[in-house]
Amino acid sequence: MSKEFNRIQIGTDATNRLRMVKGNTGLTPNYLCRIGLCYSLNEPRPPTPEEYDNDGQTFNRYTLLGEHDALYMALLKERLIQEGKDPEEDLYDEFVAHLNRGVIRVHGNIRDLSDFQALIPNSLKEDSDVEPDGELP
Amino acid sequence: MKLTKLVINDFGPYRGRNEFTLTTSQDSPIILFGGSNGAGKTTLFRGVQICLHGRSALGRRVSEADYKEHIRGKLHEYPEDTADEASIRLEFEYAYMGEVDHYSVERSWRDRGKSIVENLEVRRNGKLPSDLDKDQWEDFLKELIPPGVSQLFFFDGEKVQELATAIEDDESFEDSLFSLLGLDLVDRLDADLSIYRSRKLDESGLEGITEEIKELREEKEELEQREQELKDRKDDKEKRLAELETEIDSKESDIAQEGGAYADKREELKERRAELNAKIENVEEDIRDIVTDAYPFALAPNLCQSVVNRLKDESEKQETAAARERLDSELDDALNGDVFSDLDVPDDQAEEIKSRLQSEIRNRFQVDDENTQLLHQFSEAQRREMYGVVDKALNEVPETLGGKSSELESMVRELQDIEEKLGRAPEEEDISPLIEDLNELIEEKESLKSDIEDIEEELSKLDTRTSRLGNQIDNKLDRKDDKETVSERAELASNVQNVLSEYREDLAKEKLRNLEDALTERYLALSNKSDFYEGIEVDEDALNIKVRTKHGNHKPQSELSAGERQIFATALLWALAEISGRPLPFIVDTPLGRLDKAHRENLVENFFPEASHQVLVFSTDTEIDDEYYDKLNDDVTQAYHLDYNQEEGYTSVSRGYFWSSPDQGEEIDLEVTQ
Repeated sequence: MSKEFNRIQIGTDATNRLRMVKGNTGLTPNYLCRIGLCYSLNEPRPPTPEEYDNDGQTFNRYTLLGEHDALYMALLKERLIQEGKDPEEDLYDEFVAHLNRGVIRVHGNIRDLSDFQALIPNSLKEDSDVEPDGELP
Repeated sequence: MKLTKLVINDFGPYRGRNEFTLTTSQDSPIILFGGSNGAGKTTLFRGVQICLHGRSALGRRVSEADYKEHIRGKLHEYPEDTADEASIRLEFEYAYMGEVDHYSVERSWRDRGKSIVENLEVRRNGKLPSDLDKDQWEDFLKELIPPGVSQLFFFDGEKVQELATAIEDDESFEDSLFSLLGLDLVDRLDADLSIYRSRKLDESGLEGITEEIKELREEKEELEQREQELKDRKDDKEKRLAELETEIDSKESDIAQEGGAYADKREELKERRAELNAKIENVEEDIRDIVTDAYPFALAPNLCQSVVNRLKDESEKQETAAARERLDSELDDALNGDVFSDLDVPDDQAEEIKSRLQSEIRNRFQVDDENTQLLHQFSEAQRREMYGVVDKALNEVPETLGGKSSELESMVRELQDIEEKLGRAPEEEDISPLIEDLNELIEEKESLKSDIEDIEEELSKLDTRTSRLGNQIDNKLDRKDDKETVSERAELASNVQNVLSEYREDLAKEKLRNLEDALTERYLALSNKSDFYEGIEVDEDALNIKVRTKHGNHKPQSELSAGERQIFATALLWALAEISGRPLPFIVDTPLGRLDKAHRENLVENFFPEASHQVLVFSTDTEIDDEYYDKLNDDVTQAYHLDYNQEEGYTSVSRGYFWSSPDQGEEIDLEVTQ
């Protein structure tokens, strides 16, 4: 079984950025954290947990991840397996590191609601662009 | 007040019920009780007081326990046992406002072993007084016959002795004289008022509270002033706002007049702006819905895919392993059964077939058992949900979000465009200044509106503070009111005290003059030197009582002989009883103890018949002897003989004195029921 954790504390930097993104988009920190987590998980380089303090906002795990908790955890574990790490032992530290990095990155890329589309990797968008082929004039 | 009947029951030496009729006539006011020492004269004498005043009859400092102990000692002793109940009932007539009421007061006691229980019953004209509660009876009786006054009327030789001694010792005499004159009440009232006043003044603190109220009021006034200023400012701003709105309207219509086409286009643009704003809001909401649902997973498509693949792979492996196990066991079952039995296959070949089949199956269902790292952590339902979410994220989300995002972008761009057009003054020279004015007006209007909102907010805050201050002031005012009445009362008390001290002085003078007159008269009536003495003088300040002689000399009271002093004391009591203004019966116990013959005669001839409308005399046969009895006979209505029977241990009561006068001798002695 995975090492359970219920409380998650992120760094001060991430906390501030969450507040700013919320102002621009009207999205609460929970949702922005989910987006940040996945964004970071997609980056090829692993995050460095030591970069982040843990003096920022505290979250409850279920409110943070919501109904898709299982899938978020699966993604993280898959990544750890791929990196050859222990998916149980390092789970919390890696989780918080990805969360911090992701939130900071997302803040850098989002000015308003129309910017979220840009975060989706091109491979996906090309797929969907290619499919409705004849649409363009 | 006139006593009519005394009933004493198992009290002291009186066994069973003993009834004494006490009615007297105007001409013969005396009832004589004759008895040797120990026959129960004093018991009767005290019994009357106890019946009327209960515990207070024994004096002021007697505790309830001591009183009960005293009563226990008075329960009559039978040869076998002590009575466990006793009672004394006194019946009397009392005139009040011209009406004569018949009272009956009964005090009874029950011995409950540990405690003595007392019961008091008061009846007026045969009925319980409807205007009084049971617990008010005691006080009612004290009002009827004040214990302080009663000691003037209930006096025994010993007490006269005490008083006579007290007169020698000035100080205690002063106290008791004042007490007997009723002046001690005034003194006590004065002392009580002093205590009351100092307490009330302590409670006050009027200055502090007045100061506090003043400060609060000032603060409130400031707030109200500020409130008024703000309201004025708000009014001004609202006026200006209304003006602006008319100005804007007229500018708009000016613009419409000056350049019709431009104005129409402006309206159109405004409409489009509103429309766009609404649409943008909707699209933004759509985007939020997408972004807060499956969107995050679209950001990590490869990882999602890996997870899905791994889970599917793992679950496939699991299924394979399960299938192989199943097949293995089915095969085992089949091969170990009758499959080969009816075939002509040699045993060694059958074994070969078996092992080949088994290894074939194993090869086909080969699984790498170790590698199920994720699968076991999630339930089937969770996995299905994950597949669904991933599918949605990777296929639906990019497309729908892409559509919404570009829609939003183009709408925002159009909106910016429109704002720019609206803000830009047209080319025409006539209109452009109007537009500029209009833009300025609109700007002013916006800032005015926000100013007004600010003012309103501040006003509501001020309102709360003012009403809170108002409450505080009200509270303080209430307290001030209380304190004012407190200090008013204190002042009143002090006024009363002043009046009281004057009153006391006057009262003392008045009482002393009365006393002088009454005492002179009484003393001369009782003294055997009435030819020599002319009068009594009471000095107001020193309270010295002097006897003035005919020759104009003064003889201090202290120089009187012991016998003279006793007579003097009797005269004093008599005089005091008279100036007390209460028509009460005189009850005199053994009055003639140490008097010489001359004084005795004076008492018998002058005091007993004259002391009051009703006089009860308790006497031994040596005090009121043959001679005096004959002298008194005309004034005696009733006579009782109390005779203590040593053998039986009780007092028998009979009519008549120790001896009866010839005409009374015919009367039958009433042996009282036991």
